[in-house]
Amino acid sequence: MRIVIDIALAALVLGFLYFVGRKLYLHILSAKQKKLTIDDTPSSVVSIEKIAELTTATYFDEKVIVKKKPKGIVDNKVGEILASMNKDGQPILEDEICMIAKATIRAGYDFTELTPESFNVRNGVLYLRLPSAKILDVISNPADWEYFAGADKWSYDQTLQIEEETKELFTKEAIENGILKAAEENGRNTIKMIFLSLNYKDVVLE
Amino acid sequence: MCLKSNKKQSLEWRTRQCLKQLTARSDFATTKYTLHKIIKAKDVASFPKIGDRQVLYSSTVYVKAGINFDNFNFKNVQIDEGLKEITLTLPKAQIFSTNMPSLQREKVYERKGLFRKKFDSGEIAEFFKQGEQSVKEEIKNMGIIEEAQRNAMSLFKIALLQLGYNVVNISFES
Repeated sequence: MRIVIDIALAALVLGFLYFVGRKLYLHILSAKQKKLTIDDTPSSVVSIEKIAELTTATYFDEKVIVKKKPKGIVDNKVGEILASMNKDGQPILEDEICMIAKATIRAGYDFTELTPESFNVRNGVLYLRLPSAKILDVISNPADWEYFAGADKWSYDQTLQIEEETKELFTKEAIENGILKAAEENGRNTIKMIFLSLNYKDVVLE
Repeated sequence: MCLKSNKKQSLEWRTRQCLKQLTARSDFATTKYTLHKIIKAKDVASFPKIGDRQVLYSSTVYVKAGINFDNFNFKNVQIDEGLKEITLTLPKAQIFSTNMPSLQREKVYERKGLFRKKFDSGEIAEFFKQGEQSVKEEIKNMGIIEEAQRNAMSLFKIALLQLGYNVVNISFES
């Protein structure tokens, strides 16, 4: 009986020491935590292109994204079997990440698609055959992403995949919310104004 | 206004749409720079940590610049019908976008000490934020504005000559 009490006491003391030691270690660690900075490396210019893109509509969107994945310990066959026993098929242990993302989608016309045949002047009236408006850029840069919570449990490759999926979602919603229609309407007005200022009697956009 | 998240996606993938805005613009981009940026960082251990961590990523950045016509006064265009001469003063070029696509960020090298964790996603994301800021500073001195103006001038000249003008004078606001 005495031995059991001694073992229990020893376990308690060890547990207490482990708890205090861990707290102390984490405290020292956080006190020493400094902001990591990247090395100064200059960018190199790979190419310079001449383009002719008229952006006539932009769509700005912001989302809060919450995503879950199985914890490392159950991210295996055993975990899958355990998850299949769950009513909703969810993993038994999960890591959650919460991010806030912004994106800017730019749409308009790529004038490099115009050919000399696209322009036709008859009796001082310009007839211009325009291509369809399209998405020119989907911009969601690192500074547009705030990793709000849970980032320490995810690798960057995993979150990059989320970023890519979110960009697709941003683009889809921009189209659903009429960015291309707005780009065509605004674009037609701008293009008409530009050519009318060049002294054409009228501008007909086809 | 925040919209309610889709229930079907609630466990795996939840997004909450908070803000959306559609605006009209008239940005005529004439130049695109493609840049290569190396992002490298080293975390040298200090007590009580043991072992260093290093990471190196390669990324591509696209920068577009050109002329913004939002405040352009089209009445400022001077035309001499007899001489078929046109004179216009365009707004000064500006940078429209800096794009660092996620698909073009690639890990080239990573090393960590035996007792260290790999860099997590939050840490790498912070490195890329710093990299993006550094690119934005660098491009100010890369001559992109001048290049955009040169290209705009050449594009306008070609278009106006094709439209029947014999003399085309283009200048830029200072």
